[in-house]
Amino acid sequence: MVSTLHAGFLASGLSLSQLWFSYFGLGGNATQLQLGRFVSGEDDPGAHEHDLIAHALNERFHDLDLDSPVAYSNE
Amino acid sequence: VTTEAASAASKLSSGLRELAGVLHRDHSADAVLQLVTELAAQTLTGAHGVSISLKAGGGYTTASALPASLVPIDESQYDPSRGPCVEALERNQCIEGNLRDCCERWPEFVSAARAGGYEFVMSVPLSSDVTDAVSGALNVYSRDVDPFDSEQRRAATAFAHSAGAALNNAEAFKRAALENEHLNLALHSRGLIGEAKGIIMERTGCSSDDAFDELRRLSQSTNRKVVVIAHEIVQSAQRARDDGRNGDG
Repeated sequence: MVSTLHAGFLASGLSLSQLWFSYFGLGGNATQLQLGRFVSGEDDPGAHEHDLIAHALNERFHDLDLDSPVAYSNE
Repeated sequence: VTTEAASAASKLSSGLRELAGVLHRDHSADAVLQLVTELAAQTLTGAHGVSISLKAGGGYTTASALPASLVPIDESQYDPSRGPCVEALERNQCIEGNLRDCCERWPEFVSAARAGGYEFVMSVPLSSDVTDAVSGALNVYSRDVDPFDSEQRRAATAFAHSAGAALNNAEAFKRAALENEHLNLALHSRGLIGEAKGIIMERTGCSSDDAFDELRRLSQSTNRKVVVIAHEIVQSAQRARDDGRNGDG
């Protein structure tokens, strides 16, 4: 179980570009550069953007037949 | 300058010109490598066969060969990891040899190449700036024992470098095409999710963020992707609209 976006991103095996496509497809509005700062922990994405990123990562884990380990903002 | 040398220079110049055109108009890596092989075989005096080997993911393949009978000869060096092309890629420099003198150095390759009637081989790395994922070498075979002068070596190097640029171009195009495909998928997904959020907002009066949370909860509880849930909501709303219209009619 990982809780942070940073740990989830590292565990996902996705490149930042791959994650951005998934996140953008869910409705995310940040640029790839901003997304990089969110997943590195440099910037706080806010609750909604956090949930979009967390869900993009969790769908990736679901594709890999793994649990959804990245916590959402209200968890 | 002899007539023969002038003719060779002219052939080289026209071959390289044709190759430069490929950089702009043809983006299939296979097609580019095939053309490079053909042009090099036509252009390099003393060459009786040309192939291009690629190394990717730790393994070697022959991407194109003229004649095709060079493929098993190239392959004879891949498994033992011993031969001119393997050395050229490992050392990133042109490697050549009279095969009669290389029996101990490349036993499998020399045996296969000489059985095919070749006496000399020159392998030139495609270029130093080929993509990190793929590297390659242009292999030039000859049936003569001392076929290439410095002019032909320079020409082979020019070809190999142009081939490297062409390969880079093809790889860059492939990456761009893949990114474009990913972007199209993302835009499609984003459109569906946006539409579904609008339907939820209209039904419940909630905010856009809350509508996404609802989609996400449905996704988690049913183990299906958000975009699949969104697609179902949009379809269901569409059916309801169609039924309403039919009922009105």
